[in-house]
Formats: sequence, structure tokens, C-alpha cells
Amino acid sequence: MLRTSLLISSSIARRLIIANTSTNIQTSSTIKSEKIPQIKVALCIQRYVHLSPEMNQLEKDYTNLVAQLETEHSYLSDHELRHKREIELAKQRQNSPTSTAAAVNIVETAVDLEDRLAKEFENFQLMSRETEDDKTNNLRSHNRKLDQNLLLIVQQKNSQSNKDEWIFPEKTYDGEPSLRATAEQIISTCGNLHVQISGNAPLAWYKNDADSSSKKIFFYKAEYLAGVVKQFATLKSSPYKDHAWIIHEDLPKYLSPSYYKAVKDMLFVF
Amino acid sequence: MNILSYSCSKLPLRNTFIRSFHITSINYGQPTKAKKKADPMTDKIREDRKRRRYEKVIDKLEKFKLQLKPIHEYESERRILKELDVRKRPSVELTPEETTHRLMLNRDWAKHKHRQHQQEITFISRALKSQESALEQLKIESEEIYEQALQVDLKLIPFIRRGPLYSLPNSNYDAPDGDYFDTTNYFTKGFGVNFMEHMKTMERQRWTDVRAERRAKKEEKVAEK
Repeated sequence: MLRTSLLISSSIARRLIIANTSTNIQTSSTIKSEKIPQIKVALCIQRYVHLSPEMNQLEKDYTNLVAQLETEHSYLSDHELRHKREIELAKQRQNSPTSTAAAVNIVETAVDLEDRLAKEFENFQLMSRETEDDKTNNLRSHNRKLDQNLLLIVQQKNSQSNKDEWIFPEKTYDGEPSLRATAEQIISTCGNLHVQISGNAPLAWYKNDADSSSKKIFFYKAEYLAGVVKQFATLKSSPYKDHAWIIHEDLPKYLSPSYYKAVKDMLFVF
Repeated sequence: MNILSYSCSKLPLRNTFIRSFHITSINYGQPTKAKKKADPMTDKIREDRKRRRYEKVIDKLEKFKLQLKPIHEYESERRILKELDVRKRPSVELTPEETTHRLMLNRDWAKHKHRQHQQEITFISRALKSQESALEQLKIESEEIYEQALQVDLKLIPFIRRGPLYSLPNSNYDAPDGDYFDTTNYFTKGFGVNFMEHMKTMERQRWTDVRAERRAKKEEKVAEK
């Protein structure tokens, strides 16, 4: 059944297949009544790259070399032949002004054409790769650093040490049918977001060994598609104090070391 | 009646058979053709001839199956192939510094790409390990949620990803209008009546040429002698 779902791409077929497989999943709202496991679920929302990153020096050099080799191994193009012929015509004209070559009237030489096209290209303007939020360094906006991945982290007041610490948004597991369902509830606490969670299985786990009463946290990864994050800093009553969209390199500055160590593998960083 | 009886009694006996003048009975149809007996020999010969003719035609048509459709992008333009000697680029002489620079650049690039590939492999293996350990921990906590976590998520299929662009799209950009002209080549051979006639005439022409050649050769030999 899984193989057929890969071949059939229409949405109707997809809905039918999902309806069939959901009979496997328990439809009861709570899993069991005796013991609800004391765990937390956290969601790492990532805004993926929108613009291609700039080439570093080695890559630029190599691209230039490859382009050079290509032209060296190639034959002359129509444009270059035309250029050659026009140079010869000009020479002949200089040597004997009354020859037949002088009678040929050239409207636009190859060089003129090149200049004209270069001017047109200069007049065309690409949109800038930096947005306003880049310039103001507005950490709360997801519209900055378009050529890198951004992660959403929130600031929470840690009751134990009475210090503010940055974490991924999390929620205690409340007896829902699966951890994925808990992760989906986290989305609504963060704002009116449209997010794609990658799969049913958690990707990492963390337990604060120093704090014995803290619970195990299971992490899910999600792709940010659209929507606005709640401005926690300005809201009066909110579970979190603040939020930020940061890049991978800045993560160790915000997260605690043991937390970062547990999480970094699933985020594809060194 | 009176006239007839009178003629019979008055005139002497003659051969005037009134009954011999008559019209045929009305049939409303042609007389049926004489039925030929089914001759198995001639039938077989006729069928054999037909089969041989069809097989010949099929063999000729099979020849066209071997010809592959040309791919426009793989073929060079004939016009350019004729002008290749005109289009030769003057050969470039490389200084020794340039050659060493190119060699070093190639080596650095190879190292860089190799390192990148190793990085990607380590990323993937670390992420997988992290997921496996998370699932182990989940199993310790509760079996039922573990089972739920192992389910396949069908919403991820179909998976579409649009690549990163160099710059953002300009909302004020006025794209110039244009028309689409469909210039695809459709390769169909006409296997109609004209084609068959064409094939037949070509064959006939070929055989007349062959016969003429043979005749010419014979005459040469005779002339030599």
C-alpha cells in the first residue's frame, strides 16, 4: 500500500490512503489512564534558506578557471566570426578607400552590439539580498539572513535557578495519542503559524542531569512556511518572555552547553 | 376464335406451329453462375503468393524501426560542421606560472569538495544516531507512544522543494509580453498507399539498374574476346 501511495500523486487518492491507515492509529483521545509518562515535547522551527549563499574565494576562482577552459577548448561562435570579418573589412577600407569593401554599409558592428547589450544589463537592477531587518538587526523578525537557516528560540524564566534561559518552545506531555500531536499544539502557543513537522518520530532528547525534577525533553523539527510569531516581549501574560530567530553559529551563545550538545546533531551543525 | 378456326379449315396443312412462338417465362433474375469446384492446389498457391508479398513488405518496413529519432540537442548544426576550419580558435600558450596555478587550483578544489562530502555524510549519520537514541529513550518511557512515533507519516509525500534563488523576486517587475511558438519535430513516417507505391518504384528502379550493369559487364567481356 505504501508503494502505491508513492505512485499515485492526486490528493484524493492521498486522502483515501490516509483514511485507511488511520484505522491503525488509536482514535481514543487519551492513551491510558494509569500512568502518563512525565515527559516534555519541544519543537524546533526552522526557516529554511531563501537565497543561495555567496561563493567563497576558492569557489569563485574555480568557476573562473572552468569558464576559461571552456572558451579555450571551444570553436568560434557566430558573433566572433562576425567581429573578425568586420575587422578585415575595416582594414581593407583603410588600404583602398574605393574598393568594393568600402561600399558595404554596416549598420551596427559586433562591438557596438556588445556595448549596447552591456548598457542594458547595467540598467537592470536586481533586488538587494539584504532586507531591512538585516540592517536594523531585528532579531525578532524571520526576514533577515535570507541565505542562511534561522531557528526560532524562546526565552523562559527558569524557576529553579531564577535566571532567564533560552530554549526551544516546549510543552509537557498531557496524555495525547502521540508525541507528534503535542508538538502540533506547541505551534498554536507560538502564534498563528503554518508549519510542516518532519515525521512522527522525535529527533533528539535531553535531560537536565543537574536538575533532578526536570523531565525528559523530546525534540521535533519543523519547517516554517508562513505566519506570524506572537510578540512575547510585548504581551502582558505569556508563557515566554521573549523570542528570537537566530542562525546556527549564534546558537551556543544562547543555549546552555548541555542542551546545545543534545540538540546540535539533529540541526546539522558541527 | 372464329378467325383461327377459319384459317385452320380453309388453308392447307402447313408447318405453322403457333406454339413455337412464345416468350420465355418471367424469371426476375439472371441465370445462376456455374459453380466452380474448390481447387485446393490453386488456393494454396494463391495464399502462398500473398503471404510472400506481405512478408517482403514487412521486412522493408522493419528497416525504419532501426532508425532512431534524432535528438536535436545532440546533433551539431550542419552549417557549423562545414565551417569548422574557419572557426578554429588561435591556440593559447600557457606560461609555466599559469600551468602551476591551474594545477594547484584543481588540487584545492578536489580537497574542498572531498571535505564537503565527508561533512554531509557525518551530518546525516549523526542525525540518524541522535534519532535512534531518542527513540530508545521514548521506548523506556512508554511503549504505546513509541509505537505511535514509529508510524510512517504519509503527509510528507509528495515532497516538493524549490531551490534557493540568487535574489528575491521583484514585485514591481513588468515582464515583457511574448508568444509561444511550438517548434517540436514530430517524426512520423507515412505508411499510407503513397509510401508503398514509392517503395515499389524504388525497388523496380534498383533492379533495372542492376540488370543494366550486368548487361554492360557481359558486353564488355564479349568485346574483350
